Amino acid sequence: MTTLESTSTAAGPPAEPSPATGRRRDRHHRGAVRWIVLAVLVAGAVVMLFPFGVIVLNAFKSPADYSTAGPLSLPTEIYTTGMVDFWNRVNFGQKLWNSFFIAGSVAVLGVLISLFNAYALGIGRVRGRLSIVVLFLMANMLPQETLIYPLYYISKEIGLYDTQLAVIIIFTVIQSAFGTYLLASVFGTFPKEVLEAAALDGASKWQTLWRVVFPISRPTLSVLLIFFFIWTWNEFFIPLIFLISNDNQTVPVALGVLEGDRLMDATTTSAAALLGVVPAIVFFLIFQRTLARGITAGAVK
Amino acid sequence: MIAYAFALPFLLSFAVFMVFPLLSSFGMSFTDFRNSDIETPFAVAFVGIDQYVALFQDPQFVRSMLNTAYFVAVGIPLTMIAALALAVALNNGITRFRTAFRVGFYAPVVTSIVAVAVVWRFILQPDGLINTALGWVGISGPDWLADPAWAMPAMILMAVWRNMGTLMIIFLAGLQTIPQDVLEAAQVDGTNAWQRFWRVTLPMLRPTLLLGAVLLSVGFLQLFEEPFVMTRGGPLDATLSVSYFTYNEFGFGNYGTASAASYVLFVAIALLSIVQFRAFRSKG
Repeated sequence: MTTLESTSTAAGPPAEPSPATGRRRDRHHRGAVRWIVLAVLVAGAVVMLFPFGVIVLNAFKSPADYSTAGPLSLPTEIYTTGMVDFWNRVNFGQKLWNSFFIAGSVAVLGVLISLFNAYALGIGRVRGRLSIVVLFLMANMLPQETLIYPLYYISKEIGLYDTQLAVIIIFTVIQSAFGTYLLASVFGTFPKEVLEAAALDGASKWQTLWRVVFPISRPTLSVLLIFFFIWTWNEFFIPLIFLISNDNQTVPVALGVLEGDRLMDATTTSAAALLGVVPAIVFFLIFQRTLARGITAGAVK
Repeated sequence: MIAYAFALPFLLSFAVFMVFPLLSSFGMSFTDFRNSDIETPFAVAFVGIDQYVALFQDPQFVRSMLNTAYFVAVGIPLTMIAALALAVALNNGITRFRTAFRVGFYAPVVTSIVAVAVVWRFILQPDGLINTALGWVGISGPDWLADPAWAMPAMILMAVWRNMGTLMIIFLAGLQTIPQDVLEAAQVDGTNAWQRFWRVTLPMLRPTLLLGAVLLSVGFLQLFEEPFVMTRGGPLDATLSVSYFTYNEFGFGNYGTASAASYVLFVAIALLSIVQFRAFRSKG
């Protein structure tokens, strides 16, 4: 494990090739290899992005167009009726808001709680902290199916079943277990002098957290925030079981329920899939630079 | 003391929503608790280890374990090799467009499987895109999702597509921590690129490979979403995973059996992680 600072170079440019290879023939050879590598990478990227291309192609195609020309043809005209119909039929705006509200709440709460925990564990030095961290890691390795019946039972008992609050609490606990694990290892290497200086200046633990620890660990925290958001956004199993009423459902659950609907034609399904994929992709594109820097936070020993 | 105050809100909710469910489902796994017992909790009998014995004698559960093992044993090496190849290519050849490639290869990771299931059906159906492409070279492809022999390879294909991006980025970061002068020294000693990769790069990448393998196996052993949206565990249980088996048992109301099955899965995840830690641990 290492701190973010030492891995932040991951996004930077690579080291220049060694100057020892100055001979012309060698350079020629390297040039050719580079072009082959580039060609293979482009081909790979095309394959990887191909499914998205097919979704976009068919999302704007009329059903008649689809049945005559098949899934790979360009649409003869931009057809949006299917998408609009789908949006209205499932009240997609509401689903979008539900997903956004749940994922956003979990991300903010999860990061906040991870910060408190890691501050206590990594800097406050709680006794037996290694076993606590291992316990959190184990909680992450556990199949969600293990937890589902007791969780269902608890939320029924306290009247939280079929509420978004139940899903928010459950995911906040799951995500912040991981966040604590990651942050605690980062905080373990936090420079002691900084904290001592703050204590000498008369700062309380609370002030130290917000004035010193929080600003310094902001890069890691923002990565956690993005991860928690995307992970929660795409969660399917627990929301499927806990959000049974239509008005509470998230985007993946709404799509999953429709999957079984035989009345959906291929183009409407594509339109639905596009609507389901776009928010996460947009979110990812906005934050991809932060993410690329931080995804490696736990990667290198 | 103050430290505990900071951790208190979490410790409380962790206890209620994690530890309690964990312990109670562990307890449940030794009983014959069914949904018909909810009204009459005293009818629940302690069956002890017999639950697990019965589980391992259930041919469907054994099938689901074999399926999961197949998925893990083929899917993890495939994903790791593909991701490593990509990372090495990105690290050595390309400086321009690197961000574009990184975003492109990572995009599948952030999408929900439920949303992209649609397009995978286009790709895998009998007259779908893969079979059309195979037709060009004179091969008549199988009905991927309906053929018991080919349904699992189709799931593996989807999983590799969806998980390669994460590993690629982790490996890329690992590659960039390898000091350039070590590679140069090897070059001066007269090694070629292929030898440098096997003798220098790969051994130094061990910790990163370990992290990748552990992350993947925790995810892959819990295979659920792909078969859930694509095949419903079929055809003929060919894509029924342990997670899916557990999900079904919950659906049937066999809570005791379901809990036992999920604990078997948990032990498998823990064991595989330990094995990997031993296999990849850097020597010395």
